[in-house]
Amino acid sequence: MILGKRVQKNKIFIFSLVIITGLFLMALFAPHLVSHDPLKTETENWLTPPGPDNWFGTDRLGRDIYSRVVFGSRISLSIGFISAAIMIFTGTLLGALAGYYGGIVDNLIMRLTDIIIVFPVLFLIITLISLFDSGFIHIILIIGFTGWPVVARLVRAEFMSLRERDFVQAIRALGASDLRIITRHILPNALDPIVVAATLSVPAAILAEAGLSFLGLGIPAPVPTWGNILREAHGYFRQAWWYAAFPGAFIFVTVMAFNLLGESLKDLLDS
Amino acid sequence: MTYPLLSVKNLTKYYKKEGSLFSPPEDEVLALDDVNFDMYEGETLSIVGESGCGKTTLAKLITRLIEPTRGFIFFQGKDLISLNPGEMRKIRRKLQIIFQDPYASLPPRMKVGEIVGEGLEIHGLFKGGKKMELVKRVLGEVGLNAGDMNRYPQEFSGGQRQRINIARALILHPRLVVADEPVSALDVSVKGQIIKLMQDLKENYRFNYIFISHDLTTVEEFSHRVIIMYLGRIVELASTRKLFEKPMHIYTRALISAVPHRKALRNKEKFILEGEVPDPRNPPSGCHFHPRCSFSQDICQKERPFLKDMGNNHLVACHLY
Repeated sequence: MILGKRVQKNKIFIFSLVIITGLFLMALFAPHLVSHDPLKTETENWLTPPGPDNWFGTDRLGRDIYSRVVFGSRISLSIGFISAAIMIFTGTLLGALAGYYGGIVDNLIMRLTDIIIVFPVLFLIITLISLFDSGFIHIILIIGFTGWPVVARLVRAEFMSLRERDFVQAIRALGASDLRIITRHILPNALDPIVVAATLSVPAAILAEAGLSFLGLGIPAPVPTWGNILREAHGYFRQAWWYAAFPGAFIFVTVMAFNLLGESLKDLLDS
Repeated sequence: MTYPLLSVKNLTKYYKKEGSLFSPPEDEVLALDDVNFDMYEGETLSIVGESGCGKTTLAKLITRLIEPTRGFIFFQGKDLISLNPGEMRKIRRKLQIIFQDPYASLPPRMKVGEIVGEGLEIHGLFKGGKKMELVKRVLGEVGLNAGDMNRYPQEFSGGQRQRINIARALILHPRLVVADEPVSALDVSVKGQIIKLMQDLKENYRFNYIFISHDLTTVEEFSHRVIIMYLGRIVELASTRKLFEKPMHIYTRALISAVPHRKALRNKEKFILEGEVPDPRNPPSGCHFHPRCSFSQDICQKERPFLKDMGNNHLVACHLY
């Protein structure tokens, strides 16, 4: 197909896809990829620079940073994906209802999104976390439910324009129910921007988790996440560059790869 | 008692942008102003007017794709506007619409077979193989091949796509088909074929149709009666023969004068329309046509003319009569 050819030609798309696949495999096979227990402390080896035994060096408690970063990818990626899924699901559902029905339904849903959007997300998340305490599930739910308004606005706009198109009116004239019109006729034609939004939601969620963990509001201490390691590294930047550099680089590469994937998907689907 | 197939009473539609907390409502746009007519079983009714006269609004109102500001639509004696969404969906089987733009009116990601068969599925009539059999038959009747079922709309030309639209509407065996300028987007050579097709199908399927057009010549051959509209109002309604033989409204006369090589009018007076259709946000007072009418009198600026029967059900809305 023509799309297949364009995919092959789009180097950025392939490049970012390779990186993301690599990160995935890393998270999946984490136990097989590490030489050290990420939780095991060897205080006599604290802050060892990168070397043959500890590829990324060790942290302030002598734990192997490479092992911690590899295991950390599990938390970061799963939070990224599950939160993004919640954002997309909620955003699509509410955006579709608002865009299709308009009027008072639209007004209610859009005012709700406005309320969420006007709060700086981080403060909102911090407030919510202080209310619900920070477990894995809570973090996912909180990131997911603060991230959907952007998706909802996008889906709403898409639905509003598709709703008026002749082919949708024609289906309505055939006697189709709203559910059928929404799911079988509008949604499939609104899928492109939703896919792009989904891809761009993942790095947003990963960054949110990293930010929370860095502030000490993320997953509690011994469990390694990229944000957690960064937080611990705080204060050791001058003595041990490797402490923050490696988890930081992983966050950077992951977020960049997803963003590039989203952008190249947009190009692929637009043309 | 026999009632009309379709009866439109005081149908009025204003388009307005609703105001919100911070913006006041915008000017109302008059799309349809107090339109009344009946349509009977067996007849083909044409509605003719320039763009912006409310033809498409009327088509969408009759099929209840939009809601009227005021007025009633009775279809087979039932008040459509009072039906709840479930009842309305059921009645849609009998009331179909064909859109003007053959490109915009077909879903881009569905195969022709699914598109044409969807009505059967929606109304729970046929599924699976039986559905496909019917689709095949209808496609054959509109001049397409059974093999076209597995192709996408993009693979067809405008004329063929309009055939798909017709097949989709007819598979439900509707009583009334509202055709909103079904041929105006097509090449001249294809136009005739589609009109011929609709005529033939009308015999086989025994449906009635309202044919909307901006072109009087297109409708002359096959319609029984013609409604002439101007800026949201009916200005003349007559049998096709009467209308072409003895047009009464100045606007109708001008439209007929504009038809090249009309014998009937060659030696008679010529009416050339001047000016443009006024802005429907700010329609002229009295008779909407008065700024362009060479016979305009004082009363035309003040009072709206209502439809008057000039005998033999020839209705005209003009102060001259």
